[in-house]
Amino acid sequence: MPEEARSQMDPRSLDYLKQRRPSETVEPLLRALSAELATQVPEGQLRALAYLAGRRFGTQQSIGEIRTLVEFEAFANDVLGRLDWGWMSIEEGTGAVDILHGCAPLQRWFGDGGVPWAPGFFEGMYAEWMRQLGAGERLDVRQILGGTGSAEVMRFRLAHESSFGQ
Amino acid sequence: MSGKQDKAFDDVGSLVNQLDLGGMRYREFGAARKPAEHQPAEHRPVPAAPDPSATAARPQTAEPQPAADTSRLRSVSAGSPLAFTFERLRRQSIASHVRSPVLVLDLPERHAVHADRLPRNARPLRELFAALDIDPQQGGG
Repeated sequence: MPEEARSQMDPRSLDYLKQRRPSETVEPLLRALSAELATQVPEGQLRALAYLAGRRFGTQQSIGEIRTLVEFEAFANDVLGRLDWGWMSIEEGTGAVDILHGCAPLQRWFGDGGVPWAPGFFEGMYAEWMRQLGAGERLDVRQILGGTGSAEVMRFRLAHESSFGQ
Repeated sequence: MSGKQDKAFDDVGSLVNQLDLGGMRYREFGAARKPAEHQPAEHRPVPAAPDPSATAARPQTAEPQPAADTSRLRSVSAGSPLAFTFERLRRQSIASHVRSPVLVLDLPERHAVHADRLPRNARPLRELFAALDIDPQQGGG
């Protein structure tokens, strides 16, 4: 990795990347599938599909008894770490909770073409977990573009649905 | 003090350190343990040398136990990291290694964690979701 790119990365990403074990087993297949899907399905529908896949994945994890965001952060990082899906951390603000997710392998899986829609997967996964933890129907999780200071970190926000506008 | 008790208190000390809750020392006297003393985080836990006249060989009920000062603990709200820590200590270390332990926790004020000074993301999720579930367009947020 070029020194310049490394210096712009979130330090948590650098720590994570030092520990990960690269695997190329299914990634070529996913990239081919993704490229083909992109020619057949509009981007909005792909994002919705990714979101639903994320919700489904979320239901497959046993979330157990979690009472605080600190405990949730530990749970999520355990799941992500086992699957080599990056790291996450939580920032609680006024009227919203932001989830920062770094080093997600979306580009490896889906190529550059997946950037606009593939984050829907994690949006769905976090939305499902929040629902299981007791978040009401009017609370929603959406990706917030920018604002993380590092290209490899995505920001998702849990907030009341009306705060997202349309 | 038995080896198991030593290990239990070493576990507690290292966990307190890991979580940056200060440091911890322990001592024993007579039939009961003296208060565990919390030190600033920069101090490493220093277990006192085992007292050969310690309690392991004596029945725990032979002498009155000192009253545990739990007043500070009561100010730790359920679900806070500190409450969680103590619960872990109780379940993982104390309960598994020490019979009838008397653990007196004396938290200096600067290490005490009160509900109104909890880190925001240590709030119970139920409270958090209720606070978020207010429509900002309606002026509630």
